Amino acid sequence: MERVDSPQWLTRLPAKVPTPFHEQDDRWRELFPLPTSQERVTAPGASVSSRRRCAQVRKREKEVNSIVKCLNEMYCAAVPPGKAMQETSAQRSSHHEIFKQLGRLKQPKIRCNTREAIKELLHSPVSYNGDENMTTVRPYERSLVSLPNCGADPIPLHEVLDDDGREVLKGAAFSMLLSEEEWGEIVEKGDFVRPYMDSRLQSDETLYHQFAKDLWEKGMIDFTQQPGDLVTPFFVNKKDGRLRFILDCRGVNRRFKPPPPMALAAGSSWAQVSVPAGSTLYCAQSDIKDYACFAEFFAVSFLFASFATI
Amino acid sequence: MLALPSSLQSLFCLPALPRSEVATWGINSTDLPETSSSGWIWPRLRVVPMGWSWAMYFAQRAHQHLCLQATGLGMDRVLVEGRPSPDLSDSEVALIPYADNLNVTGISAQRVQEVKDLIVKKLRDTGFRVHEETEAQSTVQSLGFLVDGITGTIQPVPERLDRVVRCFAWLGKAPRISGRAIERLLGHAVHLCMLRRELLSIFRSLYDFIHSSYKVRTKLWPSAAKEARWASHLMKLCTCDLKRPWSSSITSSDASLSGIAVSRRDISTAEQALHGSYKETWRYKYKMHSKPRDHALSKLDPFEDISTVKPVKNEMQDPFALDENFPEVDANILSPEDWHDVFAVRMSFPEPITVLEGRGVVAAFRHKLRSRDEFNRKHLHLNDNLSVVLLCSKGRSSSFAMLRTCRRLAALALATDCLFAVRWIPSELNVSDRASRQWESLRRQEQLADSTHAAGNASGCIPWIKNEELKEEVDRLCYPNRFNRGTQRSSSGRWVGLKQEKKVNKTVEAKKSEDPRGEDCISDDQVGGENRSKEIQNSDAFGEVGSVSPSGDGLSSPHEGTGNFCKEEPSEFEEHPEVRRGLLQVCQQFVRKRIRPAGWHKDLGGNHRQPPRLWPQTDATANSSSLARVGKNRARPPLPWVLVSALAVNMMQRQQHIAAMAILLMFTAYLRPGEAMDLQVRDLIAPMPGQGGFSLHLHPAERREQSKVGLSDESLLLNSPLMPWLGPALQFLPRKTNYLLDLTYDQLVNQWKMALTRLGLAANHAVLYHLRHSGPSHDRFHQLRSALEVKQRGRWQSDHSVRRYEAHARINQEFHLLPKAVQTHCLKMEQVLPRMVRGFISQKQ
Repeated sequence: MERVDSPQWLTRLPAKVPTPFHEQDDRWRELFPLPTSQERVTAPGASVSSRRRCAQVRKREKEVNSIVKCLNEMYCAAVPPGKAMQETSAQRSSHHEIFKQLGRLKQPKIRCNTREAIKELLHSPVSYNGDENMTTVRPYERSLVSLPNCGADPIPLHEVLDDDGREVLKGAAFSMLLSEEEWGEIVEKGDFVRPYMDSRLQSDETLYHQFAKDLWEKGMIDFTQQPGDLVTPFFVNKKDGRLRFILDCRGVNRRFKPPPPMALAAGSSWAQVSVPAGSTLYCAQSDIKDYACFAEFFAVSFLFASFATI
Repeated sequence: MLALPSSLQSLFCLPALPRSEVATWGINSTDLPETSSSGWIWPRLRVVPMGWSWAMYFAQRAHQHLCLQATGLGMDRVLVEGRPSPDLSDSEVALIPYADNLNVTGISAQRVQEVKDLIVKKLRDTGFRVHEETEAQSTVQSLGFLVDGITGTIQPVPERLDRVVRCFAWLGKAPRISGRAIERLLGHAVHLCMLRRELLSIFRSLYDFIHSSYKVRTKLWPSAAKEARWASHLMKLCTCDLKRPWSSSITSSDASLSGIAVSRRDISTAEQALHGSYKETWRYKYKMHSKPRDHALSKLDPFEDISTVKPVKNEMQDPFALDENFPEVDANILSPEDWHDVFAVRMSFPEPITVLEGRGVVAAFRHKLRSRDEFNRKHLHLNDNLSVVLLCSKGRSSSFAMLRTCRRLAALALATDCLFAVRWIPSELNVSDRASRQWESLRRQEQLADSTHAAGNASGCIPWIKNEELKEEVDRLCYPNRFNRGTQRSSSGRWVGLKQEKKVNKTVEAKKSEDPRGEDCISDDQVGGENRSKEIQNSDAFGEVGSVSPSGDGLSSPHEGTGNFCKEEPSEFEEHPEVRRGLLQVCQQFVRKRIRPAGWHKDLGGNHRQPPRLWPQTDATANSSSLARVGKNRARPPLPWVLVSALAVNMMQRQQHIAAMAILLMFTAYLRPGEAMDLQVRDLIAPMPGQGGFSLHLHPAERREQSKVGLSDESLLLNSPLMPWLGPALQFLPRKTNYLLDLTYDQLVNQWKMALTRLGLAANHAVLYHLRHSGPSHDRFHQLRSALEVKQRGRWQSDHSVRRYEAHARINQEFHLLPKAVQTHCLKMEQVLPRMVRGFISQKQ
């Protein structure tokens, strides 16, 4: 048995076959396929500013036409090649809507070229040398590490939580940590996580001592003789070129139950906001400095997935 | 900084240090633990580390609590995912605390500033250090998006969007890349697409590519490159208009297996906002998300389901978690008297119900968006299929059939700058349900007829049913008139039903050809009302006229299954309409399953592009010529060269030079008709100076073309001594496109038939595919090529295939079968052809 695929030559339209579109049909009301708009021609003898404006409009119309082609393809609406279709009013409005959407798109203040964009987003060189830089994990460099300054007294959690949160914290042994049976089951399975530690700190004892001293001076650690579990430090790139300190807590996290779901916003939540017509939306912002240790939020599991091959 | 509870601190220890080393740091000895025998101590964290799985929970909770404490506002003023946005029209603010970041937003600048100051003061009083403060302003950057309060739009940060667009544009060129790199880019893109989830429907092949070559750099697939190109253009529309108003009406759709229907009603924007501001995907964020139908119909019965009993003890209600109940659409807005049916469409092609429901949703929006007054608005739509509703809310689907629905919705939404809110309602309350089921009786009849065929096949014979009771039931259902009036024949003894059927078919076909929407969308006026009843009547007549029932009575001996049936000699019953009908139904089964049996083109002739429709039945007589080809082990006979040259001369005399060169090319290069039609100008390669002749480059890989057997970059030399002038002649053919033979298949077939007719032969004396048989036979007959060369030139993989195509002994036989006059004419034309072609070339030069 073989799949039925229409041969390629069947999709080629005959030269003089009557077009299935609505060239003479004024009853046509469907939006798709959207026709592309004709290119605007600058009137001869126009002023420089007029020509410049016209060029800008022409550029945007070109973008609109590209978008229209993509939309037609997505909609699976075939447009006969070389056929100029008569636009309906809805189709004209659709062009206008796309034009408007492009118009309200803010332009970037700093433009990068394609090569820079690829390097930044794909972490992949364009060349064929295969030298891919797939992780942002970097070795320890004391001068580059930014550590939060938490002072002498960090704020106790129970003082800033609501009643329910305090209840959870109070009964941490029951509400947060796994029971002995549950933990025993994990231990018996034996699939332990081997925490990742920065290679330089691991190999250089003096360097690690210096690093621990830095942490102590910032008030982030004290000392114990009865460790419960182990977390290990490593570092990743920050946008400003410095290093972000991260602790690999995967081993410890296995001792905890998953936290209960909590309603919180995301970037896309902005799209839910509805602004009354004629109003202006205002927004004020603030940020808590060094709110929690290494205050940027990240997904440790993702990072580990990235450098698992290192 | 948040302190880690002391009871948990010992779990967060760093690698050990020597106590003696730590003692040198100037720490009080009282702060150090007592010396152990090992001399090692462990640094332990005092603060909450963000790698901890509970860190975000506590950080978010504390921030949210402090904000509410400072302002005295309730949780309903906090913008969260899973609940509609707080109403800003009353000048009150909405709070968006996210970990350490806070946004206060509203339409009153003064109130926004006031609330923000209150919160900042509270945070500072608590001991936190607050920085990066901004006053109330209309343009801010928040959570990765740019908020423009004046125009009321949200868009991605321009620099970031620019990078993403550039990367997709680069991927659109199909570079060599690893799936891992694309995964990273898709991560960025998906974050941006959260503003307009419909954009997520773009990505399908890119995901497949990631899984296919995650670590290996491979050339990006054409389908994935196409998606990247779409993304590079459409991501520019990734903006959200917060001032977009609601439409003045809402729609509802429903589908049954036989049709779809759309209804509509006017409704206040407040009511729309109430229901439309909830997303169906949020249903699963709530604690109680099971049994939505029972919940919507208020049928929670503790006697039937014990889980619906209220708990005896009062459970702690977390103020920061979502409520227990996801609000369903109010049944009051579904009163049938408020609604009117907009249209209903019969679906003639059997598809899964989810796909049909998706078509219903698309049809509703498509119909609504014919009016430009509906542009740039939010539209609420109701549907009773939870899968479809969820995929509309999600924006994409892993099933390709449903992804097409998503893509169509996305195209409509992006082209009109609309937002679609699709909510689920129970089927019992869906007002479109009745209209969508109006063709159900017809479908059941058809299904029953199909099941009888299947039963027949399973028992080793074609539809002929063994069970007498079932047979009678089928006949009664399908042909009720027979039981009322008895069998009738027309005076002429012809099959009256067929004629009538043909007439109706022509009417429907004519209407369909006027409708550019295609087969999958026949309008209601085409299938409803009088036409519909006429179809049923004619279908009844179709069956009633013969003495042969659909269950097979009266036919000659049954055969073993469909395949064997098709291979039998058709001479005994090829003219019997019931047999034709049976064949067509078998073919329909294949078409429904999107498969075709190997060699179906031989069984059903040249009717590739018009597979039989399901209902009403197509005219069986249309395939009479094709049935002549049904024969056991019979291959197409080769055409003698003299006949081919006569056909070519005839075409050239009528100035059809392209058609003439096409058949000559197919003859000498053993090409399939489709392959010849696909050739482009650049595929005809001129010889180097002083070297050989012209050559053909078939199925170039650069155009991602493949032959029938999946090969690319095949080469053929046009070196036949019969026609050394063919290469230059092809070069000088007139054309307006890039195609080497600038005519369509239909035009070529028409010319072919016309030439045969003018020679005094029947129009179906031979088909174009005969030429692929004729070339090899001719070359072997005149010993122009060895058997191996013929096999290689024909690109056949097995000797068995060659034997089917090459039958040189039959050349003479075919020639002698021609009428004497034609034979004489052909022999003359063979001499004329080279002169005519050379004349054509010199004329063009």
